[in-house]
Amino acid sequence: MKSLRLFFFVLGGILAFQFAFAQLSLPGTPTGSAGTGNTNWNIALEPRAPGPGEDVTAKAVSYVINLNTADITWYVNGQSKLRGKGATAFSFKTPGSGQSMTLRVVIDSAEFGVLEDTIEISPADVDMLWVARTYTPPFYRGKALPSSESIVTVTAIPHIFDSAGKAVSVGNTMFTWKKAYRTIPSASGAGKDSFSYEAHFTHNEDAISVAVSSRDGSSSRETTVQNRVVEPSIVFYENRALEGVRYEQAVGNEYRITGNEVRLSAEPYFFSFDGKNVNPGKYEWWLDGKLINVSAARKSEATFGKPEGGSGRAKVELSVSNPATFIQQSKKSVLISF
Amino acid sequence: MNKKRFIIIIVVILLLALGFFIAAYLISGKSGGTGGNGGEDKGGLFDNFYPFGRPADSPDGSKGGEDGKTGTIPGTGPGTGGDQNILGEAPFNPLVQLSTVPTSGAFIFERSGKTYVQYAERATGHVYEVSLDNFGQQRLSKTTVPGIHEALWTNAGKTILYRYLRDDQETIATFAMVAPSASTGTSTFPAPAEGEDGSAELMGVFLEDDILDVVISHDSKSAFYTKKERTTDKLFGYAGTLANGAAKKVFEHSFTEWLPVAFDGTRAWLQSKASQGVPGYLYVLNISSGAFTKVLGGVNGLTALPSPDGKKILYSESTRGALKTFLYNTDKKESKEFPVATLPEKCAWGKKSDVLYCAAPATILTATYPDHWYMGITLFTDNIWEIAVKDFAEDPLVSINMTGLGKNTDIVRPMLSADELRMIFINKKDSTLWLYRQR
Repeated sequence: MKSLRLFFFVLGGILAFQFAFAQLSLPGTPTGSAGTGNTNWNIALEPRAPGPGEDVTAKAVSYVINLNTADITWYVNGQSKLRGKGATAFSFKTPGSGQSMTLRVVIDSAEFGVLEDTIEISPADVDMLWVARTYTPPFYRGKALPSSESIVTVTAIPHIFDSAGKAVSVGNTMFTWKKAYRTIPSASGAGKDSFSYEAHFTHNEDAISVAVSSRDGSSSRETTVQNRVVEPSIVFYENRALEGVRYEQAVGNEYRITGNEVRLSAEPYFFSFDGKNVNPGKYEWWLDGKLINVSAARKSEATFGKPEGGSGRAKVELSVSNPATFIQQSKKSVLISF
Repeated sequence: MNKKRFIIIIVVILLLALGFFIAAYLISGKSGGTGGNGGEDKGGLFDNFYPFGRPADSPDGSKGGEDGKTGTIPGTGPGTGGDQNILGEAPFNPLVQLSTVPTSGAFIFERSGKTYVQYAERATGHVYEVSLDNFGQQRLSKTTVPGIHEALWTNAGKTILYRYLRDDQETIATFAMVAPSASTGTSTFPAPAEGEDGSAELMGVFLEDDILDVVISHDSKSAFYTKKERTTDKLFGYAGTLANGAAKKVFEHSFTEWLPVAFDGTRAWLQSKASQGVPGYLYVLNISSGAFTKVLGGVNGLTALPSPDGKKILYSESTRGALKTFLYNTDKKESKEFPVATLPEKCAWGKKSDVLYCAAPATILTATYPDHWYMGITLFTDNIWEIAVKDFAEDPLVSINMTGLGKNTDIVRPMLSADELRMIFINKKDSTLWLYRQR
C-alpha cells in the first residue's frame, strides 16, 4: 500500500511538472525572442507563420487569468495601438520582406497584477524566380519564356529568420519542392534552392511550389508560381551588311526593298535552341510557294534580291520546327515589295 | 476683265514671286556662318524647309567637309546659317539632330567648361565628337569596325566598350578601347597611335566573350556587367573601370536572368528580366560586403530605374496589355502612381535624384509589354517630360512639364548633360542621335 501511494505521488508530480512546462511555450511565434517565459498566458498568432505585408490577428490566451476583466494594452514598435478592458485580440499588418517588428502586450489583471510579454516578428518570405532554357537573340533584354517540353529551372530565394531573429542561410534552409502540388522528394532537402522540370504543353500552366523552413521549424513559408507555357515564335529582322541585325525594329507583315536586296534574319524566340543556327531545328524557306535553299551554316538567314526591271511583290515564308520535341513549331511570312 | 489682261496679270505675279525668291537666296547666302569647319551649306531661307537638318551628303554617312573628317552636318544646330527667319532671328528649336547615320551609343561630357558629345557610328565604329556650342563635328578615329551594336563610355569617358556580334552572329564580343582624344593639344591619357590622316587608331583589349549585359555607373567612372558560365550554369557579376579590361568578380548566383539596371560604383541594382504578367524582382548588391537585398518583388512585368541615391525607384508594371508606372520610396516602403506611363529605361535621373527626364509614349496601344517593345514589334512615338519629384508626402508628388517632339521618335538611352539642361538620346526607329535642350 505504501509503495502504491508512493507511485501515485511520483506520478502526480511528473504530471504537474509537465503541465507547468507546457505553459512556457508560445505557439505561433514565427521568430525572435520568446518573451519573458510567463506560465499563465501566451500570445498566439493567426496565421501562425505570416508572410510580409500580411494581415495577422494576435490573441492573448490564458486558462488561468480572467483576461476578459483585465486591462490589456498592445504596443507595436513601442507605440500603443490598442487599449481596453478585455482587449484580448489585436489585428495588424506585418512589415515587408526583410523587416521586423516588435509586438508587446501588457496585461493588468486583478488577480496577478501587471504581466507583459514581447515577441519579435520577422515575416518569412520566399521569392521564386525561374529561367526557361529557350532561345532569345543576343542583346535581348526581355525574359526567355517556356515553350512546350522546354526545361525550366526555378530558383527560390528564402527570407526566413530563426527564433533569435537572425536570417537563416540557404545551406540551413529546408526546401520542399512540388510540381502540380505533388512533392518531389529527390529535389527537396537542405540547401536545395533550385528545381528543374520539363514544361507542359502549350497554353497550359505549370504550378510549381516550394516550402522553405528553418531547421528548427521556427519559421516557414510556402509559395506557388503558375508558369504559363507559350508557343515559340519567329521574328524577322533586317540584317544590314555594315550595321548588322537591326533588332531595334522587327520586319512586319510587309517590307519594301529600298536597295538591291534585303537579307532577313529570323530569330526563333522561345524554341529549345541554344543558338539560332547551330540547333536541331528544321528550317524551311519558301518564296512564293517554292522551297528555296539557304546555307546550312546560316539557316536562319535568307537574302532576297530585287529582279532587274519591273516591280512587284513576293511572299516569303519560313517554317521552323524542333524535331527533338512534339509540338515546338512556328511559321512566319512577310510580303516583300520591290 | 478680258482674257488678255488676265494673262498679263498672272505673268506679272509670277515674275514678282520669282524675283522675291532669287533676292532672298542671294541675300541669305552673304550672311550667317555654317557653324562648323568648312561645311558646304549655303544656308539661308531654304534651310527653314529642313527644320531637323538635311540628310547626310553621302549614303555611307560620311560627314560634310572635304575629307569627311571634320565638318558640320548640314542644317543641324542653331545659327548654322540656315535657321534664321525672314527677320534674321534664329528660331529656337529644342530638338537638334546630331547624327544622320545610325549610332551605337553616345556620351555627353564637359571639357574646359564646354559641353561635347562623342558618339560611335554603328556601321563603321568611327568615333565622332560634336561641340554643343557650335555643333562642329570632328572624327576622332579611322579604324573601321562594322556592326557595333552597343557603344558605352566608362572610366570617366577614357574607355569605350564596343559590343558586337562575331562572325557566327551569336557570340557577343566586347572590346574595351582607349577613347580617342580630340585634337585639342592636350591629353590626360596615353595618346593612341595616330593614323595617316591624323585621326587615332584604336587601342584596347578584348574582354571575355558573351558578356550579357553592361550598366555604366551614374558618374560614368565604372561599370558592372554579367556573364553566364556555361560549365557551372551560374551567373557572375563583375565591376571595375574596365580600363585595360580591369574588373573584379563580385557576384555569383544560380538565377541566371539578372539584368543590371543601375550602378553607383559601390552598389549594383539587379532586376529579373521582364515579361508581361511574370512577377519580377529588384535586388541591390553591395559590392564590398556581398549583401544581396531585396528592394521590390512580385511586380508583374517589372522594369526599374533606381535614382542615383538609391532612395527612389521608378518602376513599371505590365499586365493584360496595359502599362503603369510608379515611384517607390525605399525609406517609407511605399509606392505612388507616376503621372506618366512609360518604361523607366526611357528616363534619366538628375544627379540629385530630384528630377527625371522621361520619354513617354503619346499613346500606349494594347500590346505585350515590355516584351514586344524589346523585340521591336511595337514602337512608340514619344513626348519628353521633365518631372521634378517632390517630397514623397506631398500631393501632387511631382510637377511636370511636357514637350511635344513633333517627330516620330522612340527614345532610348537618354543621358543628361552636367547642367541637366540638355539630354541626348537615340531614336530607336533609325538609331540616329539627337539632342533635346532647354533654352
